[in-house]
Amino acid sequence: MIASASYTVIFYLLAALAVLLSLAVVNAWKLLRAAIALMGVLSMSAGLYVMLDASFLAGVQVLVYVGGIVVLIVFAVMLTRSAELLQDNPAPLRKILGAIASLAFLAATVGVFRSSPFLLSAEKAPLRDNTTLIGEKLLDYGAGGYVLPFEIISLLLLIAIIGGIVVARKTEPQGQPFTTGGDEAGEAEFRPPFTQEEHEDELELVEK
Amino acid sequence: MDYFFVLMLAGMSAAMVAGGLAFSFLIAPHRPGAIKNSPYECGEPPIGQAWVQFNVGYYLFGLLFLVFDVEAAFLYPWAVAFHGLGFMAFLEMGIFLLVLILGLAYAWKKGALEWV
Repeated sequence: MIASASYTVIFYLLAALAVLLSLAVVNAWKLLRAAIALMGVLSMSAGLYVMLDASFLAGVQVLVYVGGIVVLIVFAVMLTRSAELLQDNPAPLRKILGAIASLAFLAATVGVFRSSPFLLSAEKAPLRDNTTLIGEKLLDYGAGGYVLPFEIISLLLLIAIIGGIVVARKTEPQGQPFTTGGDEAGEAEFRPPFTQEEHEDELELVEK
Repeated sequence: MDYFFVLMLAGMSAAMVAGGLAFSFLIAPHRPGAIKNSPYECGEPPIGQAWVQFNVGYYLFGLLFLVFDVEAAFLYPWAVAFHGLGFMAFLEMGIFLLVLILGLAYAWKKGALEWV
């Protein structure tokens, strides 16, 4: 067990990093930078789970959220037409409504924090390694076991696979399997960062 | 505390990446040119924006990956507790995996695994 002082220091370090990275997610102009910062936020919360002795939850957080969900979010954004997203300039009304919604969420969070009693658990520390405990409970088919929910999880995941395939297959344009770009409007106006002559000049420089 | 080593590993790997970048920034010559600044210096001249609309196939692969990622997360507590559990635990996990393999078979049958 870590000493109480260093525990506090690590907690505030993780919390401050989480807040800073969250600000980076919101303020980043490039999607991929926001995604990397989001991975950081989720990793910091995994660190907080570790401090709560919830090591399995921390592992799932890293495995599923940092490794999976963020990638899926990036793909989902990449699937949409991005030109409008890039030049998104919200109207004043939308900004005001957004501020009201954020403040309402802040008020709700503070309210929940103030009204919660935050009961300490009866045991000072978990009995054993909680991953083992979760495994035993999940696969226990006797009374108090969770084997039926466990098997239903696999059905839920099967439904997710089938649903995803059905929805995604429908939206695919027929006879146009791959979008390489090139016939999009606006791409004709694109100019390479250097002309052919400049290219040749530079090649000559390299040869010298 | 076991996690001290995780913290050390994270710190050391971050320091190695940052150190490598800083060192190459310090000692490398800085003579940028139009060609050197282009995304593919040694190949085709780039066409259009980097941010193009992705094919939906990527999303399907991402989704399938995520489902089996969640499955892998459930394998961990099973594997850790395996010694204390009997043959039934093996069967239960077999059923769990079988249902998900059905999903994989469906994806295969529907051609979701084909690269379009």
